[in-house]
Amino acid sequence: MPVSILLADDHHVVRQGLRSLLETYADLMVLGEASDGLDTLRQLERLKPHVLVVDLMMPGIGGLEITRLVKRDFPQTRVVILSMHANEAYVIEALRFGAAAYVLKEATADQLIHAIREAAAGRRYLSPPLSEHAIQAYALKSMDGGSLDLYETLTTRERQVLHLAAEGHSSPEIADRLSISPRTAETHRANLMRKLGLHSQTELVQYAIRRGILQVD
Amino acid sequence: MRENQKQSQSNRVNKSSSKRRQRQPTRSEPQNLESQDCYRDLFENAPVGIFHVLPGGKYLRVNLAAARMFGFASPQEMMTTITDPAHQLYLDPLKHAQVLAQTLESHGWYRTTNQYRYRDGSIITASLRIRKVLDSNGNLAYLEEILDNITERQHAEDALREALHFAQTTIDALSANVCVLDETGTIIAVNRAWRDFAYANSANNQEIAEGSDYLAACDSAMGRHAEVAAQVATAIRNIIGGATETFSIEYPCHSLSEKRWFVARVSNFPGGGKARVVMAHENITERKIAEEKLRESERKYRMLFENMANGSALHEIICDEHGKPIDYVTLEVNSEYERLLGVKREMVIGQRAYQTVPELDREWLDIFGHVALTGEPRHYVQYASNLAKWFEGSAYCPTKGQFCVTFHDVTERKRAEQALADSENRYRTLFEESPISIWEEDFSPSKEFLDQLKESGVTDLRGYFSANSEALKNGFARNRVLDVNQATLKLFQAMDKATLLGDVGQVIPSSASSMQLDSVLAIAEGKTRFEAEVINQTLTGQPLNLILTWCVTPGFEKNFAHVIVSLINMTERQRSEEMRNQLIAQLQQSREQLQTLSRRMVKVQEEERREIARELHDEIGQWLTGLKLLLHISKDMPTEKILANIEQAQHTISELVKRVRDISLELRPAMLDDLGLLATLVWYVEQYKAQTNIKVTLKHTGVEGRRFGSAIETAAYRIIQEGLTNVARHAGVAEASVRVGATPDLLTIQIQDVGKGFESARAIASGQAAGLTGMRERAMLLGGNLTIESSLNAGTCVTAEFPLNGWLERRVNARFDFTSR
Repeated sequence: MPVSILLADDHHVVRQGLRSLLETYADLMVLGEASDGLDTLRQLERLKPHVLVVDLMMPGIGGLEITRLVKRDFPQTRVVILSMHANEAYVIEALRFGAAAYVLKEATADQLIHAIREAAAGRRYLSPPLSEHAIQAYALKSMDGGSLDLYETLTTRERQVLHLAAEGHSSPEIADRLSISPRTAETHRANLMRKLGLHSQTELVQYAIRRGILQVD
Repeated sequence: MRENQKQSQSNRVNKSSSKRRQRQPTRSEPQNLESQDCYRDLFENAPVGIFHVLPGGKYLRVNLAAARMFGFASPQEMMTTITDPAHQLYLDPLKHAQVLAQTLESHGWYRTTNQYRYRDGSIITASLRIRKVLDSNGNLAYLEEILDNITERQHAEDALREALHFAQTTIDALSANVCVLDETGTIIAVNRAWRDFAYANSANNQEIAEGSDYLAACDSAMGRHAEVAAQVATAIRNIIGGATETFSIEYPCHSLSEKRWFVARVSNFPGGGKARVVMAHENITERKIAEEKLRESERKYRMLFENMANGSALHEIICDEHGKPIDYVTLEVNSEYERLLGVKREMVIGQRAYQTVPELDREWLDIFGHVALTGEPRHYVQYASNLAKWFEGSAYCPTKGQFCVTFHDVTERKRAEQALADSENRYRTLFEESPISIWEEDFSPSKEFLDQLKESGVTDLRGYFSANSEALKNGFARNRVLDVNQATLKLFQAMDKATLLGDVGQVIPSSASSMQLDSVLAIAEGKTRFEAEVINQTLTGQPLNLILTWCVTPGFEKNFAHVIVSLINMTERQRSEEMRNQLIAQLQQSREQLQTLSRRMVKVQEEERREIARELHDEIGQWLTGLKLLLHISKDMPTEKILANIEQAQHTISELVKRVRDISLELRPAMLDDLGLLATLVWYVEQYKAQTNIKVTLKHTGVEGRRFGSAIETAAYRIIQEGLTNVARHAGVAEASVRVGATPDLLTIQIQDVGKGFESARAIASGQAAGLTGMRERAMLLGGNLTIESSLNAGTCVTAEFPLNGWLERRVNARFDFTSR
């Protein structure tokens, strides 16, 4: 039984090229074509193909979103993403959304055919120069810097104000200490609370204790 | 003792005589001699006193027992000492004569009992037998007296009699009706009270006197006492039978005239012998009435306690081992207590307060512990946070360790007080914080002065005051300043209120005399409102242009004792006009800045377009031209050449595609729309590292998988791009940090390096840092904010913040909420 395929790309020329390429293989059968996201979803519902070959960049509902929906609503259909982006970020995102294969538009016809067959067989495929290894390395790298402590985003002034406010000083007192105007002190205090997502003096003190700014015996 | 001695001596005499008697059979003497000897022995050793005496009183013979009976050592001693028995031995000498006479007249023994004097003067009692002894001629030879000392017996009998008399008197003295029953239930003794009672209360008193059958009387009792009688009878039988020892029952026994109660007590007669029962009826009416009264009073107080409009309770304090109060137990509560505290009696009685209600305020324990331990009563008004109620009450100490509380709910009153205080506070705040200078003044001196003038017949006040300028002092300057607000202190540059309080005169300059006159006239006319322009001066001498308004506080129209004076500073108004002009100038300035900015934006846009046009023309155009040339294939071209050209063309197209993608990414990375800020930044930072060799640490929180809207994402991306570009261009470092953090309300981005830095204010002011300005404008366009911290050689830190999710609107709303509260 041949692999049934739905083609989704907003460029008519690309669809035609793909169809004429795929129809030369006996084990592949193009059931239909869709020109945008909505059309794709309608055709999926009707045709229930083995494989959906979809352009990453489609107007309206894009390829990534389609992938997510297919994974959710048509789990028996495998998705092969066609993309002009060799960027790992896209690949990671596509795989995360449930794509079975990611094929660059500059890939050879053979690579595309291979990708469709692998996807239909339930395996994963990335066209060269992409590789699983590189993707994993990239995923790790993006986590490289680690988690941000919001305290780091405070400006020096805001940190000073935070420390004084946590110790219970009023804005005028803080202003006096830092030789700034009370209004500026108040602005700093409001700013730092916004940055840290704090909403009251109580939360501010709690934060200060949690962070070790205030020592509690 | 003495008798004992005598007794033992006589015993010894007996023994010695028996020895002598044993000896006797060995003697062989004539019969009469023997008989005489025998009599003598008997006489000498008889245990009773024997005297042979002549009627005149002279003793012929006295035996040892007789001598000893009177305290003499020997018969000889007695016989030589006693010469006149009537006076020496007889207590009553007359008795001696009587006894003698009787003896002489009688035949045989005369018997009597006599009292004698012992040798030491004490009295002995003895029974006397006396007879005449005749000689052979029938003439009186002597009198023989046999005396037996019965003093001891006499004493015992007297004591017994006395005891019996005492017992009877004692039971007679008892107020209780007492009788003693024998084992058959027959009365064998009653006391006087019994007899009196029987006499007073019963027609047939013989039934319950001595000898009557009490049990039978009980058994046959009828009417209201039948039941009590039956119980008493059973008890008597039980006690006689030995089953119980005592029984008592209280019973009413009302007569027609009075209410009476009795207690019947039945007990076995102590001591051995036959079973006897003591039965006592005692009138306990007084006790019963007292008890009844007590019960009645208890009932009344209980009613009072129960129905008190106040909650009331009795508690006992619990202390730890140091005597410090730690809790208290509830002993009794009334129904109002239950209602006020919303508890049920059963739930609290016997319970520890803090165990039952752990959130109970500790203050209660302080108050109650003090009362219970010191005994000092306390009045309290206290808030019970567990009930959200205020209670007023008092606690006192009925006995040490306990305390009694009575209290009522004053929550409403407290609320009213609070509301009053709030309202007062509000008006006080309104007064104090009003930007207008407000004075509370007392114009009654003016009013009084004017009334006096009127009474003394002055009608033309204006004329009067014009003629007597001094009079204005009395007319107005003596009015009193009661209070002033903060704005007043500021307006007059006064240090504190005290400097302005007191006579109005001290703060009114002579320049204000016309205002004073007009005011006085207005008061005279009974006006309650007045307005005038007045020139005054601050305490430091600065001139003040004021509009003065006063109005009488409602309720004080008659005496003008409370007037509110307000001063509006026209000086300030003039100044604020100047300020407005300044603001207008500033506005104009910023409008011009805005125009400059727009012009620059247009210029930047034009530059970018020129750049794109150049790229398209120079780069893409050149490639396309080349491609066109490559694909210009002529018919007479050899096939290999064509194939080579096509291959060349494909290569060129690949290059072209790559170039187009680069340009497009540079203009705006599609990734920002497709994948969002974080993914784009990760990609960009990688690119940046590759291009600049500067290591960038990207840290983030709250942004993964989150979208912030195209405008914010673009701005954030551009600012980071610009920031990093600046680092590469100016900082001269090999490392930089990018931080992206988001809370629900705010997205914060930060680009920091530890490079050369610059003086940020100067850099921006000089307009050199067009890039920095552009960054700031981007942030501010979105309601955000951008801070640049930099100083020479200390690096640069650019922080931008973007409000999220309509945060601005919420902030504004919150502010409205705040003010309306």
